[in-house]
Amino acid sequence: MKEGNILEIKDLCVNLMTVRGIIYAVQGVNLNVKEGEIHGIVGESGCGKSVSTKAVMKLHDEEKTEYTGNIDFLSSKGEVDIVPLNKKQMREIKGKDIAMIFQDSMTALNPIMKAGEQIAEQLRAKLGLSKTDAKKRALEMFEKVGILPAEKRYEQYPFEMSGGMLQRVMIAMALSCEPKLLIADEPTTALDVTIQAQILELIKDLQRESKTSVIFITHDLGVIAEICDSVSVMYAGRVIETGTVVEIFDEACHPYTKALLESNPKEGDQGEYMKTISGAPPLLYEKFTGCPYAPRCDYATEECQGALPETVVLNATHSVACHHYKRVRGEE
Amino acid sequence: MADKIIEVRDIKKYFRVDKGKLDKARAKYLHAVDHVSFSIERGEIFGVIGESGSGKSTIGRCILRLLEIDSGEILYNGTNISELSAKQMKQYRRNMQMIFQNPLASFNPKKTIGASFSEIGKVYKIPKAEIDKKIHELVAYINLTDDVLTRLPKELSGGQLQRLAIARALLVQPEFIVADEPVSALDVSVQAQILNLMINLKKDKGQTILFISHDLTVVRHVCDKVAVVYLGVIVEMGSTEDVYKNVMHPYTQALISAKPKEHPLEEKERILLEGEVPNAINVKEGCRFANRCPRFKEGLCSERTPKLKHVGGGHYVACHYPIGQKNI
Repeated sequence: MKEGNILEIKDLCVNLMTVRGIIYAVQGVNLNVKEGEIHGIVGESGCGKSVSTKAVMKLHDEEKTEYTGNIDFLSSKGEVDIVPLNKKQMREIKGKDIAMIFQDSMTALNPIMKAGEQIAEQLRAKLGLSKTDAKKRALEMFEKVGILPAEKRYEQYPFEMSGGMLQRVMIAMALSCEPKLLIADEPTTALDVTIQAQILELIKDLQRESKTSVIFITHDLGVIAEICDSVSVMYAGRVIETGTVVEIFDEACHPYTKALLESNPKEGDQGEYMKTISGAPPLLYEKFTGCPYAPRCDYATEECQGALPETVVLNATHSVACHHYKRVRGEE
Repeated sequence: MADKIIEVRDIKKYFRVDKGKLDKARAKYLHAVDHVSFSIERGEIFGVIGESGSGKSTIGRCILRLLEIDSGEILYNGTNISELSAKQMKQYRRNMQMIFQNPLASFNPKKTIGASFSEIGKVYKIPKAEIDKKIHELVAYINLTDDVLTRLPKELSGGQLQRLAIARALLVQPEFIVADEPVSALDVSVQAQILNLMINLKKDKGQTILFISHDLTVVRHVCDKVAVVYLGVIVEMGSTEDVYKNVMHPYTQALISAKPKEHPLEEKERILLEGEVPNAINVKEGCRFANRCPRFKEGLCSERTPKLKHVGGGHYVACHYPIGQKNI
């Protein structure tokens, strides 16, 4: 593993067996997360952003999922490849080293257990704290994430709390064991803008304080601009462009990244037509031999149909997978 | 005088939230829409923006009489439709259509798109040849081909279905459409297709649309006028440019500042609202935004409910201490 990286995903493929056939949901993802950074993954529904990060936690049904490739992770006990690990070995990593928060906090929590006890339970199981210590620590976490008054909220069940509060409970739970990596899967998508602003602020503050690395999955480029240090753009099960957040916004080299940025409504173009991407993302029932974006792409040529574009490294932080990136940048 | 297609006068809709209890004197009501008035002119897109639970969808449903209002009047081209019987209402229904958030749920899953479309012809007794021609025209208008008509809803993508839902609403040439969060279930690239279609409808057909949304950028992009609702009341209303550029209500200001940045290097001053949207059960006298308001002052704010007042140029605000103004 490279110095300074906490997670390196190499050529990861995830195949999901379904009644309708095999879905090649992730088709060779390469992704590096540095220590202490917030790494955004952006893409439209069905692009594999959730599937690939769930693979990091091995959350897919083992009997119906096939993994190939490597997920190298720098755990507290040293470097480890997550792909071959079994359930028991994973349990050592889950929660303690890698924690995850989900979009729908209502279904992610146990509905018949008090919110505070759910955190305490995890602390007892993972860190072996005593009952009283666990409760004390859970209350501290509640205060840290702004669930006040903590004592009263500790006793409440999930249904007694609002969506924003539940998201805070999840964040408190995820951070209670001080993980090295936090995966946040669209944590603000279901929330109102004013609450979203609160939660993003909270994640940013806690991240700065604890230096946890974060993978932040979203479909909202505004949220990426708000919170991320670096970004990977995914399309049809592959990462098509990676860069620092400024590189992605100002120097996008992939036609899809460009189109995505342009189809986002902006201030100052009221009532104008917006640029759209014609067609729809492909279904992933087969592996691609050509560029999966070619049918929707303005730059596509015959070359794109024939060969899957290799990832080109532009500089230390920026890489792109497109045959025509030079033309997209206006260099040719 | 401008041609008002819809005029809403002082409508009120309360929902009883403790059903089953007999003690009426202590009944709890959710004030979903509380004394709301506004009017929509022909050919404009009127936006209603608010967070979840603000009553924005209820307003849309009340206008179409999918929900019965408790008091007030709804005028459609000058006729009060709020007290018409279901039978009398039918002739108006043809002119007022609705588009919902989830396009997959708004089509019958067992019927082909074509069958769902022709059903409308049967309901309104339109001759088959005429409706078939109309369907063909509309499918072309939304940039799809006729073969979608033989498909089932589950075979189409969300964006295609939402365009078809809009086409279906247009089939009977309605004068007025209520679009309830039509793009919030869609990806950005697809969202742009739908918004372009809305803009086209206004430009080509002079379509009047009530556009309900929680997304500030989307509303700003397509709407001519906008009403900001908070807990069942309109707090600010005016032309979209006016409301966004000369913000007067602290809630609107907070809402705009909570919107994520457009560019990572953009400097943004943020007014973080504390707490959450409270619920509107048995609200008391006083401003509903008082407990979260950064401009809150003891006295007036907690004691008297601010009325929606005209401040010039078609801009209305309901606040005791509006931004950039002396006390009203």
